[in-house]
Amino acid sequence: MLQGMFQEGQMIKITNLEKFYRTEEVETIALNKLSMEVGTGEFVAIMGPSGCGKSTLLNILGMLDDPDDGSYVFNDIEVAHFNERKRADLRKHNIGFVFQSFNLIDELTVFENVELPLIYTGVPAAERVKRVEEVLDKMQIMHRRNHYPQQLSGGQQQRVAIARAVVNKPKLILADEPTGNLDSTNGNDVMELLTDLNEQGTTIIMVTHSEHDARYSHRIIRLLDGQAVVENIMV
Amino acid sequence: MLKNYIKIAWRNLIKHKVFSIINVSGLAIGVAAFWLISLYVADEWSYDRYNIKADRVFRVAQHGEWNGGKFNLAVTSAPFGPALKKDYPEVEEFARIDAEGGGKIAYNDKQINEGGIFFTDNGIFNIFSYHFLSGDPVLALSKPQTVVLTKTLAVKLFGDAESAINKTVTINEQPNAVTGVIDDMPANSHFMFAALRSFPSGYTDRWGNSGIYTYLLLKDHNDFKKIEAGSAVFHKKYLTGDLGPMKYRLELQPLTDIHLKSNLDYEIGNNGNITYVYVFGIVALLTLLIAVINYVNLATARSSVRMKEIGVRKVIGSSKKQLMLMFFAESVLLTVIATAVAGVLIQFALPYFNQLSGKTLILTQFGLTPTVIAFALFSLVTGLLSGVYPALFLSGFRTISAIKGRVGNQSSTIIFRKSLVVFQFIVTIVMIAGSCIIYQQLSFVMSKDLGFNKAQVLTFHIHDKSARTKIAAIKTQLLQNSAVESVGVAGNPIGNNNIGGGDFNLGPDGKINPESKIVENLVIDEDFIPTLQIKMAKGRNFSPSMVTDQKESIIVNQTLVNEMGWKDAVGKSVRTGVDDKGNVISQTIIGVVKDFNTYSLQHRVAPMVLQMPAVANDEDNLYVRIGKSNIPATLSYISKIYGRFDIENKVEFHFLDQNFAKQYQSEQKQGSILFIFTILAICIACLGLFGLVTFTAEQRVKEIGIRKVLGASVTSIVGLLSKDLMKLVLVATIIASPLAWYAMSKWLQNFAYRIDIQWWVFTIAGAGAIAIAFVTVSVQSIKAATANPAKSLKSE
Repeated sequence: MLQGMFQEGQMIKITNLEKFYRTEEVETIALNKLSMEVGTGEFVAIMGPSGCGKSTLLNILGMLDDPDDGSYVFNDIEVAHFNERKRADLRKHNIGFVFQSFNLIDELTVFENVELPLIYTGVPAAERVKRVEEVLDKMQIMHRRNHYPQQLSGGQQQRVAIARAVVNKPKLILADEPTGNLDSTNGNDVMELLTDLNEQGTTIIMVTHSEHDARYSHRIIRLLDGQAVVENIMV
Repeated sequence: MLKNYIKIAWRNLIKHKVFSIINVSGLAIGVAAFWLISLYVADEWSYDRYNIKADRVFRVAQHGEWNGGKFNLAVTSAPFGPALKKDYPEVEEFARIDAEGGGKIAYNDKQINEGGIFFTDNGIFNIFSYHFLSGDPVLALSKPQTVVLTKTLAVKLFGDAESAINKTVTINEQPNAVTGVIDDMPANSHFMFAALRSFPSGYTDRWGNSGIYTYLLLKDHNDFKKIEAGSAVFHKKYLTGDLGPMKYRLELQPLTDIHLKSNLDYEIGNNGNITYVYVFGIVALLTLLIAVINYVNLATARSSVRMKEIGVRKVIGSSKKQLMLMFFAESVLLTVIATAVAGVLIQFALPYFNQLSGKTLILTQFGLTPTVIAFALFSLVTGLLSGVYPALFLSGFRTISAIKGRVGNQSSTIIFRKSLVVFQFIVTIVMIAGSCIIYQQLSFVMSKDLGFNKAQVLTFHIHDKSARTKIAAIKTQLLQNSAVESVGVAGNPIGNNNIGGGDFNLGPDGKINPESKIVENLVIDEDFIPTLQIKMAKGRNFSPSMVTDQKESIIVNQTLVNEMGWKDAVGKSVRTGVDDKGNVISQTIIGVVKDFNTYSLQHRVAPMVLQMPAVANDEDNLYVRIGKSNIPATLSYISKIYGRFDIENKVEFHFLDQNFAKQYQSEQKQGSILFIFTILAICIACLGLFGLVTFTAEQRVKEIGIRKVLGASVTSIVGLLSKDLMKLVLVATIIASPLAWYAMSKWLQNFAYRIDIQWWVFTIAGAGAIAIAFVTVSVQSIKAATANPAKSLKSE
């Protein structure tokens, strides 16, 4: 059992988590009785070779996917067998996502992309404007608010994506190789942003291939064949 | 939230212009077509419903059947109304209409020839809802020699509607007091009149003399069953004397059914036909459906483009419901735009549509507000319908697969989409085949040999009774012009489908037989058969030199001879009637003519008896065969000669070929409407195909590039892109052929003389559809195939 070092509170506890992918002939084990914990306020990096189960783990943690077996407790709630609607409800209030490919909606402006999660959680219009402007300001892309994603550089797009991830003030941010599509300068900027967010109290779990990025975290969990094999605690 | 949906929907429309234009134009055409037909159908359906008591009003019709004949009449005789009221307490009111009350109506020196004046009972105002501008509906026609004018006629006679009341007009020289003026009748009435006048006092007639329309107002709608059930008793009590024993049935036709469902002999006006309403309705619905299918097909085909967006929205927190609402917003926005465009299209198309349908419809036929509400509701419903499958399908993607673009085109969706394309083309091909067959049948009836030469023959009616006694002189004077080739006389103009029948007692052995047979009966003179170039099969034509011909001889047609089973008809004696003193009249067959059509080709040639005119009054229709050159001069010559014998009236010419052609008007109307809808359906279906192939080409840009690099020819790539869609059209042809065959066989049954449906019609319809589809598909395929592969591969 891997335990978090910031034990003010436990946010995530997974126990014997299993996930299989089946095709007609083959059954692949993506997660093999994996257990781990993440404390509130932690910054955890997950590393491992391709196909080790990193993305599967992130999807289950983000409640985009459900495990085949095992337990997943999020903030003292067992969510492993929640249906899609319940998971979606819990997710939109608690979790923000940052993707390698940004995943902004091309038809919406910067402002509208960031506003979208607030619309889905039913925040009133006036309040939305205030909060979107606040977060755009913080990400230093206020001047681009009326631009469309295609008009922005990769670094700017990722800032918008992070802005969108945090605008709802989620307790947890899940980042899937957030610097994968960026050059090193822009990549470092993004890592600084994430670190700032973490210092302000947001729990972050980040999947990465980059040892450099991983060093920003408090703890690195290394996966192999669906199991956690090593844990490095950063000092 | 809604604002957000509409915003996204709008931007999606703008961004994907090609698809938006395809969808909007297809839907707009579909909606416009649907709306036009809806106006037409609603108007047909609205007939007589403006009458407040419509649900309790019935018309009395009669059906009789006996050995050798039958009748189905919209008319009754004068005693029906009073007798029904006396016998049945359920009858609250009756009104009789005799449509023959027209003629010269005059006030001072103003004189108008007005045919639309009906004799009627005062009860009519209690039964129908006519709006009185002046006068008292309770008493208006309660006295003889009174008349109620419609506004238009009052204005024609008096200059304005107000001053007409209490004035005295003359109708055919008889004084009539104007006791009321009413608004003109709504156009959606099964009969129309210009004025109503009262019957003479104590008016009645023989029971068997059917020529009067009887309308009843019942106390309760369901009372009609009781009266119908009493048919046999009614017949026994009143009608056995005049009609003899038969299977007799009274029918009480609900007022609101008459226009669309009644098709009896001697209808009071031109009725509609419920079948057309159904057929047009179905055709319109199918056209709209084809357009909706385009939307569904393009929306689901393009799902892969939308997948990432859907995934992201789900991750960010959109529920399935919210996603569905978003897609609904898109489809509704599209239909709202399409409906607005359709409004413009309708406005442009209405004059042509009115010409075609013979109506005077306007866009806001049912008022502005109801129209706007109907348009709004309609676009909402169409939007929801066309959006429901895409919304369910697209919002149902699994989040992770969607965001990673791994959904692909599932085979079930592809099959669904293909089925929809097949369906579109089934409808289209059935319509193409239908149009072809209608066209073939109409050319057939126009060109079929009718047993006489209908070209260059005109007929006209001799109005003046004294002129009818001078037929010989008229003929002689007409024939003085060399352009007039021959002149004959008959009691009716043929080709108008209104020649009456007569009872003839014809036995199989030619002996007097107590069972009569109804045959068509035409009075002709000796010049009729040569003028029309009808051929004699046996015996001879009437001859003026044979004095016995006028009273003692008849000519029959081949059908009659065949039906009677006679070997040699000439010389047989048949009983043709009873004279005033009750003596049997027998006549001898002197000749048999080869069959000729006196009715249009919906009708089989009936057994027929030709007689010489018994009295001069029967000789009232002249048939003139004229030369081909300088027809206007010939016509004016005929007018001049006619004017010498009848100073008061003008001659009205009818060409025989046109008389017959007129009988196919409704079939031609159906043909034209179906043809237009066929074109529309083809256009919309091709728009859909164009969209699908455009999309496929976009999706396979890289594959096409690689194939070209590897050496594929343009032809092979066009084949690659077109093959699948062409297969679908082929499948549609195979399914459509039996459907079209079935539907058109039904339609052809309207005609006694009809074409056989040829198998190649379906081949042509299918080949036509395939050709049109191929051209549509090729445009995009060739564009994709000739694109520079270096470019498309680089862009990946």
